[in-house]
Amino acid sequence: MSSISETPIRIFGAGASVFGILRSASSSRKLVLLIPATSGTRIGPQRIYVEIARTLLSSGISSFAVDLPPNGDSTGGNFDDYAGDAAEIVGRYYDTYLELITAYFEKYYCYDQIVLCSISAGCLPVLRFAARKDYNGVMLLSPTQTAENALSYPVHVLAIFGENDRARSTAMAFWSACHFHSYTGKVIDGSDHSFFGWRFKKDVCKTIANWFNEIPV
Amino acid sequence: MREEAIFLTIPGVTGRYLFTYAHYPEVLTGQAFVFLNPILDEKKKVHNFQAEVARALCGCGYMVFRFDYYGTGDSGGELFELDLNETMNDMLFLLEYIKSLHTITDLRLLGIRFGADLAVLLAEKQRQINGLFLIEPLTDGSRYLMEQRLRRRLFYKLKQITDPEEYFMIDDVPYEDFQGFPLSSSNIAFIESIQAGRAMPEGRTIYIFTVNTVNANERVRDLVGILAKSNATKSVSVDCQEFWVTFELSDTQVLTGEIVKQVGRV
Repeated sequence: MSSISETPIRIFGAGASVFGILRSASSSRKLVLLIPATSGTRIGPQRIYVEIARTLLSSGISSFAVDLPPNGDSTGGNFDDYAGDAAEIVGRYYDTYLELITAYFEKYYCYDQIVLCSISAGCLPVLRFAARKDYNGVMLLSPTQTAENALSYPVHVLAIFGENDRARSTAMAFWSACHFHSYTGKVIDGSDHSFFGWRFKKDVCKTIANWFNEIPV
Repeated sequence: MREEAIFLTIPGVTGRYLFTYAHYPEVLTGQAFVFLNPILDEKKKVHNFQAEVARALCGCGYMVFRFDYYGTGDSGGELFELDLNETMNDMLFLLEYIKSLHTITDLRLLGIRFGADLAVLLAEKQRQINGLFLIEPLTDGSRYLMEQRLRRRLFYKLKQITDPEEYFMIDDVPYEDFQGFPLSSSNIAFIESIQAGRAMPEGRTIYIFTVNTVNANERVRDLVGILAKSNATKSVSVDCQEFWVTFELSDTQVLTGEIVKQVGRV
């Protein structure tokens, strides 16, 4: 029987220290990285990342919920360190810490598959990073339309939208036109962009659990 | 300085554990702070600020202990399992646990919003607590809930959420949802019981910080007057425009600086 553990981890590098909580099942070979939006922390809006992590754990999937510097309990890190326009700065910021985090897990742990998850502004950077690293899948919570032309990446994508998110129609049209290994778009009835509501969070967790059952990530 | 995060099991209660985060200065002097969190969405908003203040206080020579109430943050339990009466018991256990590990000669609580009111309640019961740093205490729990309910109504209206399910049952127990945070009737009663002057610690040093909102200053003036009858009490108003800004990346250094100034170096 698989045992479960929750472990605080601090990863040093890139002039910063990155703090997160690893929730692992001993038999698990899959790791989901729960990456905040630019100003968020490892807990997520109304603790959604903790709930997702514990849902994954009950399905035998490990996860690492992280604070990206300088937020939460991580240290260092500064957007001023990066040059370029806003999109480039955000992209480089995410790349820096995702490289650090994934290198750590590749060195010290034996996960076969890594899936990245983010919300809102974090979605495009994690998608691009996952594709570059040949990771199998990404979960995008409330992704927005981020480019003029459809994207094309060889990953399995789950995109979850709130029904009452004002940008939903545009965003869903954009993401469903992109080219991925597989694309699953789901709408949480009644919810807004951040899934503010007890039932909405539960629906998000259920959707994620079902996706892992259905898609070979 | 050293930081350490551990999951602390509450003895005698199966499956009940708290996420705790400790900041240790290079030299341990026996002087320590324990932080008490706000609740609902305010907890998330102050996370960066708490880390900033904790590190600043640690830099002045204080041990700092932070933790998440059961059912919140990284602690065990689901959100609906938050029980504010049990949280008081958890706090008492945590204080004893900290004292069992370290020689504590001067223990202070730093509470933010609901955490500030909780700090006053705890100080009334626990003589070992020497000082209180209260950041924007609620002072009136019923008013706080009214504000949260108004905020919720406005939020649902703006987002055109027509069926928000504000009241629902979990395992046959009724809850009220505060935008993703379900509160039981006993938690609501606990919050409603918060009233300036209901808890009266004595003989402590108490600092009350407000962050440039008119309503807060008025309410806190009453609290200062009440607590000053039996404690050395000081009110500090800080011009920190960004404290209640939605995004967590607000600049709160002026508030942190004022707290450190009032605390002083060990």
